[in-house]
Amino acid sequence: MSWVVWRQHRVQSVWLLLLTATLCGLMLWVRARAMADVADLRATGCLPGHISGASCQALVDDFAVRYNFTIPAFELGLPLILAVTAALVGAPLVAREVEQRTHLVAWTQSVTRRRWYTAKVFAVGAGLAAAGLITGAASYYLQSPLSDGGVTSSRWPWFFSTALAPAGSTVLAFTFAVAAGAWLHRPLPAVAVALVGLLALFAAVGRAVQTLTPVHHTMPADRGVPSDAWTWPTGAANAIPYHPANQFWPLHLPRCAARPRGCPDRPRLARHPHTRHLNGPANGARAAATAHCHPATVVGHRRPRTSSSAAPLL
Amino acid sequence: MTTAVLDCAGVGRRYGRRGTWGLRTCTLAVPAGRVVAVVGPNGAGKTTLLHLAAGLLPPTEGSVQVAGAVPERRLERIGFAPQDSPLWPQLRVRDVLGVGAHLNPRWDADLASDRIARLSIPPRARIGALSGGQRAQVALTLVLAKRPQLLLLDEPLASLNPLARPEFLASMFDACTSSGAAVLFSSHVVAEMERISDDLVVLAGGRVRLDGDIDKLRHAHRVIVGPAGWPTTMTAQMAPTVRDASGDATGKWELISAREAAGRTTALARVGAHLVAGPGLQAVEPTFEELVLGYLDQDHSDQDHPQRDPTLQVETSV
Repeated sequence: MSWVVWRQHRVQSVWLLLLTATLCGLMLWVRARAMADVADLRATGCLPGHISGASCQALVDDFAVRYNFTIPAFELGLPLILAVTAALVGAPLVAREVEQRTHLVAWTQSVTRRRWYTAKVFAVGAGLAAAGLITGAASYYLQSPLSDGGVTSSRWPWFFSTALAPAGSTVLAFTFAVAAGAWLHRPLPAVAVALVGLLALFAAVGRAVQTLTPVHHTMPADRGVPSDAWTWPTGAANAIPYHPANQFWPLHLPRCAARPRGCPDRPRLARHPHTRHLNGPANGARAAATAHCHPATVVGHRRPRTSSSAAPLL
Repeated sequence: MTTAVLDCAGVGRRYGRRGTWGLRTCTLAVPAGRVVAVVGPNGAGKTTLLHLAAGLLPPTEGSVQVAGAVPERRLERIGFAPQDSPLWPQLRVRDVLGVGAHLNPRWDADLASDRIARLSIPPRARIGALSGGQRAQVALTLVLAKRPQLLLLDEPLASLNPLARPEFLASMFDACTSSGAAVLFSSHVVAEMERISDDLVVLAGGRVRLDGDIDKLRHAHRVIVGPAGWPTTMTAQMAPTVRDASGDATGKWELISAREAAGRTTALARVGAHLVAGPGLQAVEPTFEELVLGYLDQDHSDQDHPQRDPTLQVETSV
């Protein structure tokens, strides 16, 4: 069966390999450039942390402008590209066989239908999961100069494009697409159904992450939020909910999401009336894909409105 | 009695929970070495029967057994060639044979490569680039090299031109007889089938209308030609008489169907034994084609009753 799977999917494997290599190459190239720029900032004495004049302000602003693109590009782009790829691979898995009627041949060899399904789904799914893990690791590596290197200190803006999340969303998109293909018997509508389903689930999970996982609160809005926390502005003056940095991995490993009771600190203001207006109507699509997260610290763009607080970038 | 390779016991399949029946109460046994032709119009249930036997569909009623077990547990003994020979168009011929080699424990690689070479099909050609006839040959090779005990061929002739059919049939049945497999094949090409088939199954409206050994079936039927409308207007003197071997009148015969043409009515009748036609009637043994067409002409208003009742039963006075 493994030979058959390989023979039927080897072209896809090559394309997936190329895509993974391209994405990783792109991210590593951006990282190398960012590392060099951070080194330059350090060399001029503008890093870490203290603005020592207008020239440093200009340099840091320049750095921020140059790397503004990375968060939307990789935070949104990476999971999106992987999800679309997984849907394109998964949808024809059953649907094309049925459409071409080759399932009649495939399922009447000496291998049971169950084994045929199992081998195909697990082999192809494992390949996609590997691609997700590799690109997730590259993304994790990319963010280090932008978040750890003294420029900013938060990993949260990258939540859905780093570490385990890309692998998870890729496998999920693949699973949706295989199921939709088996149900609809046509590959292209199955891709659409899978992606719509995935977006809906992302939106739902985003809400769940906000409301079911332990949230800390601080008041007033502009003070007391650790710079490496994941926060979302509620518009309320008296409380801001945030995820502290030590919840990054519990949220990535879905322990807390699956068993909120097992988590130490349950949300007290989970149903805050303003949490649904996070990013504003203009950012609706982005809000869905990023699960309503609003980075506490961003590189350059979307600075906190309160100018009195120390900008997290600096 | 030898055990049947394929044993269908009252098997039926309904499409959808309240949908139409593709096949109903089909009882059929195919012993090893027999070639069974399944004949019927489109939508008669031929493909449903073959898919049930190949384990592609679970039966809604009754049971199907291949070599004593459900088809899903006998996949290595079943060779199934679906209608129109679907194969992966992007694969090469040798890759299709590779799929067969990797998925079948009894695969005969020499048989496969010899057959492809003899048919001068290039092994490196992509399936999508082959003609319909060549693709059908590759599909048949995939089935034969599996060395099955039960061959299920769904419309194997449909994608072949009339010139290629006899040769295809010859190669198909050479391969089958040499391995002693049972063959169940469906077709609506009635010509050429008699030569290669032992048994006949006529399906119509999802029901078996006739089945049995072709020679015996022909002996048990008569084509009776008489004046227009004779089955309904005949007098007692005209009526055919059935006599058994000892010459006694048994008095019963069944009219299967009648067709009027050029002022004459040609009827197909089922008789128990020798039939003496009445005055003005001529009775001869039907050809294979007349037998099949006679049953396909049959009025199927009895669709909800599985019994093969005669549409008309005539009591004759002797």
